[in-house]
Amino acid sequence: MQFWNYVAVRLLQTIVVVFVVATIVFFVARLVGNPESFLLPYEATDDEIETVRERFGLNDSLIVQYGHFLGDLVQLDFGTSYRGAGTSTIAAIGDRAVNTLKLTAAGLVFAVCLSIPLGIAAALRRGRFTDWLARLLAVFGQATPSFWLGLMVIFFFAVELGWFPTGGAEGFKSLILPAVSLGLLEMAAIMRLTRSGMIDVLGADFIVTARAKGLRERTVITRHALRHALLPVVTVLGLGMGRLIAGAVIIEVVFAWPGVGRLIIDSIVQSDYPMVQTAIIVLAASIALANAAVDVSYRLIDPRIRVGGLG
Amino acid sequence: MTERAAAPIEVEFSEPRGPIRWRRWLGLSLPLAIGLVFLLAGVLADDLAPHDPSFIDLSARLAPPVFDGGTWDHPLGTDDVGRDILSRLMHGARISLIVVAIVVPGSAAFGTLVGMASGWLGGSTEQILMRIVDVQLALPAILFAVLLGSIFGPSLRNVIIILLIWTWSGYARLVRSEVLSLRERDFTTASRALGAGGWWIMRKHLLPNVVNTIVIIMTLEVAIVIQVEAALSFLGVGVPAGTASWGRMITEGREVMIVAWWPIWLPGLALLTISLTGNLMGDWLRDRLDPRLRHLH
Repeated sequence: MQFWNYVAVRLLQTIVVVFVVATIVFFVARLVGNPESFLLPYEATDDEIETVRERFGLNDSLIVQYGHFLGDLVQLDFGTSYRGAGTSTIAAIGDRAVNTLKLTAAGLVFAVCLSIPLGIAAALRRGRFTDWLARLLAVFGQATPSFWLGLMVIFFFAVELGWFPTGGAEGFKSLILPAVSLGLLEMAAIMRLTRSGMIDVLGADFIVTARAKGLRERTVITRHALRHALLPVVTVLGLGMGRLIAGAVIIEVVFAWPGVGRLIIDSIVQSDYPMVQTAIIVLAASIALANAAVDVSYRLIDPRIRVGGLG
Repeated sequence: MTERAAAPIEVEFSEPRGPIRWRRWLGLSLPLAIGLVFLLAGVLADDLAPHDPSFIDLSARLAPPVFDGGTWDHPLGTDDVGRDILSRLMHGARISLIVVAIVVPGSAAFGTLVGMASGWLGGSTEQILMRIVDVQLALPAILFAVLLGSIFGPSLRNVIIILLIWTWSGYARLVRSEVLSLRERDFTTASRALGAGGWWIMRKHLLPNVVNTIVIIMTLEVAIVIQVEAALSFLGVGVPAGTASWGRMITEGREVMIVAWWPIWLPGLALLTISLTGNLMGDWLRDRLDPRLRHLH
């Protein structure tokens, strides 16, 4: 069961990575000054300040605070927010995380659904109009800053044409513009990769053989060529997940999308460290998990690795 | 003794029809020309800019560009407080140039060193270094940037530090994987058998073989670095308010987007153009130096 060994090792590595991220975030968040100034009215007495510091454990030494933090983390207790009467941070993030997940998934779906057919079409009609158009789209897609694109599509499709809402998360319609702005970069990257992979593989001997056997062109393309061409796409998709989640932060700000990214930025403004801490750890953990999942699925897909891996 | 790619790779350039020669010529000279304009505008911003980039003139606010009914006094118009957009674009180019000039060589040098060390030494050094790379891939750098920016206040120095932390790992991973295959090759083994030290082999055998890869990533990194700087400034954690930077200009243009197109379009187009230029040059280099690296970007 070498495969399961591999999965276990990869999971363990993920946990270590999340632990290190948590440590970094803990210490960086402690570099900022006085959270009690945000928790109390301006005219609070020293006694009141002291009570609050005591309650949140801010009087302990940094090491003791870190120890408490780790102990709670192991029990999956992420602490309570400084604001909103001690709501649990993880509960507050739960709602937002659903929105971020929706946005990221929509961006990914947009990128994959458009890029792979377009990449195949471009490779099959190499040097013709389709190819030219696809490559133009890829070049511009990779060079356009997503936040600027977001503002532009808000202006044209929401303000001028009124087809979509300008922001917020109200139903399916409000998801389209942010998802497209978020996914365009990945779309371009996957499209280019599919195209060049297909072009490479279409010249390979086994494709010539498949055609010589008299297989239908459709079968040759989907069963033989595409499977081969999509291998590198899986790798890029893995890194792309991280890029999408990080990119969602900016897109959430542009589109007033109530996700984790915006929560983090709002919480930083309010010096709500427990919230910032938990949110960043949650995002980092999801990226690390996505990377691990891609590594594992890569082993399942690529027969060369599978033969070696499973013995 | 240096060796290039593992096997001679047939590179087929992809224009099967049409006037190939001028297209290929244009493919390189156009990006080069735009890059040069960008460089000159940034370096000579003080001398070339028609106005002081932060001079506020409320009587001339939102003047349109000359091709949209404006005057030559403000060739690209003015923003919502009457600052000259052309001058701000030039000074913004300077900010981008400073960031690129420090971050790109800096992270390339550091990433290459780490990649070589982990590939060559192997063992626990490699394990530790690669786990650091993993951490970096999992920590959303943009969030880290927002966090740092909120602690130390927005500044150019923060942007540079964050970008350095963010970009070196790409070099490290690629260089490591190349070194892993190079160290088993005959010329390295021979050199070692003749008594060469690790440092010598790295300098004389490994570095010349990975230099192509590094140059390609550096070129592709230019656009990324410029865009991230703009994104951070847009979020308010990049350069301080008031500084002429393209990201800041977009934030400010956003406020008047409905009444005037130029304050948001022009910096956006500048950003788009320079990213296109960097990517096209990177692609051109990659096709000629190392087509195996196609998956980058």
